[in-house]
Amino acid sequence: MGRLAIFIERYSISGSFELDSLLRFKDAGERRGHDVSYLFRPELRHITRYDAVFIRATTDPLNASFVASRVAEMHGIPVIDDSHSILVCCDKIWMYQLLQKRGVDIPRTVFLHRSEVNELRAVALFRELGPKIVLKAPDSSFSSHVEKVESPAEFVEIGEKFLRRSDRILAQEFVKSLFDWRVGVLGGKPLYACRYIIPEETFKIMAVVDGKLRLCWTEGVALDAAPPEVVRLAVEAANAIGEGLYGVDLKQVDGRTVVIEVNDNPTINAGLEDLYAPDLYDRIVAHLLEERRPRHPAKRS
Amino acid sequence: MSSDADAKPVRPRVAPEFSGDYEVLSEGYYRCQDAELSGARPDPTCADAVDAYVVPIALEKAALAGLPVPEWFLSNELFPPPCVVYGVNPFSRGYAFVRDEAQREAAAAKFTWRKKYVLCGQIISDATEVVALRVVRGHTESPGYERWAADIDRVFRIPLATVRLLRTGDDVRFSSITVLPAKSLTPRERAWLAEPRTPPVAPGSDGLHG
Repeated sequence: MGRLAIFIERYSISGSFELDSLLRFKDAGERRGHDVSYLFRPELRHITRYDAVFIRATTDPLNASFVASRVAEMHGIPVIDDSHSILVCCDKIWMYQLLQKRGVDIPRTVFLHRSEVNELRAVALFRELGPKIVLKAPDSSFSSHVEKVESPAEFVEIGEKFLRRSDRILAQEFVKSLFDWRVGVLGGKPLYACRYIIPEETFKIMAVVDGKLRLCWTEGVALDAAPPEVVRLAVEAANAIGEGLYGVDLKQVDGRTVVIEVNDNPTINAGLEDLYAPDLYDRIVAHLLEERRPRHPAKRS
Repeated sequence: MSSDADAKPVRPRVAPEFSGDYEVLSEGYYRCQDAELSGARPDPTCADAVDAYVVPIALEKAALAGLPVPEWFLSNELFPPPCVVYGVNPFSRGYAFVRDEAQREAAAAKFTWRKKYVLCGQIISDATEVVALRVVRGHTESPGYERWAADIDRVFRIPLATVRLLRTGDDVRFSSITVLPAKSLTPRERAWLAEPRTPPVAPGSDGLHG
């Protein structure tokens, strides 16, 4: 029997899908004979009381979830998401370079230094990447700080805005599709699949259009009903980052499959991502508490 | 899923990155990342930089390495004065002394961005003062703190660092690390950059650290 801490923030329990999902994790853990507790920010000092930590809150190298991850690691406690995965996935410059290095198919991507955000460079990039370019700030999440630009002036305007957040940004070929595949991968194995249907008014899974929030719709798909190429490429992309839990976004257009991004801390909403993968809760609990043992038991209380 | 105990292949070390600013997404940070992506092990790595600059992580790392640290807590609600508080978020820099309850609300609002983020508080006494050290490759020009500078370098591997310590009489404890811009270095500090790295020394061997 082990003790699992699920680190959450108050917003983690604000939606019914998320709340149901957290309860399913607890049920799965307890059914398997483990103690499962929810851990909030002020209780992070008690993290060493647990045998494993599962983070279900927005990750960023500079917020409390990263502290939870790193402190757990320092004490030899298995954790999802591990700090390396957070550092890489919360920095698209790092993430895409790792994917490129491993030969994973991604849209054509150019990394830009501050000095390259000018109209002259933009003209060359439009020639290289096509008439529409997607600019991304490295720490973009939930589609924020991701913009499509179609002119050098727009490139400079958006690029300079993103440079307020980072000294480097990236430009990417625009790949249009009606939906993104999302494949959950755990420890190098596919966990679940779904389609994120992109709202008509935007190219992103989440956007504010005319002052109104437009969100993608999630459609669960059985893993064996997803295109094998999508699942294979998702696993390849996840393996380029690490051995944790990832949500890999992919597009299939004109017979070409590309990885759009690899997310740590992927959304798992009850009735959506888990629709055809009800065992995902058990698999995550088993991965954390049963499949690997902590390396430093002597440090534990 | 990982732990620090996971075996990692030994990578060649490369020349340290000397900009002095290794904040996440800064050019200095990216130069370290470039080195890592090329297969080398720079000083610092991106992980070293985040460990050093995120205050509660730095405190935990220092404590595990045997350096004295203050009692600390994380909060976005009420907390007991007196204490020194730092933000744990992408925006807040610096610190604040919270000597009494009257100062608490303003400090909490500032460092938590009105409860959106968490702050890290360090318990102090009324007599505690903050000592700021400039540490360059394990050296400091501040007399009496040479051992601290060497230990901070050994634990965190940040070539240029502003280190804050909490001093209460003879009791000195580690508090935080922030950037030390290379352009602010003195001639003596610049000379230290050219020196070969000194071997690590066990903490507390001069009796400074309990």
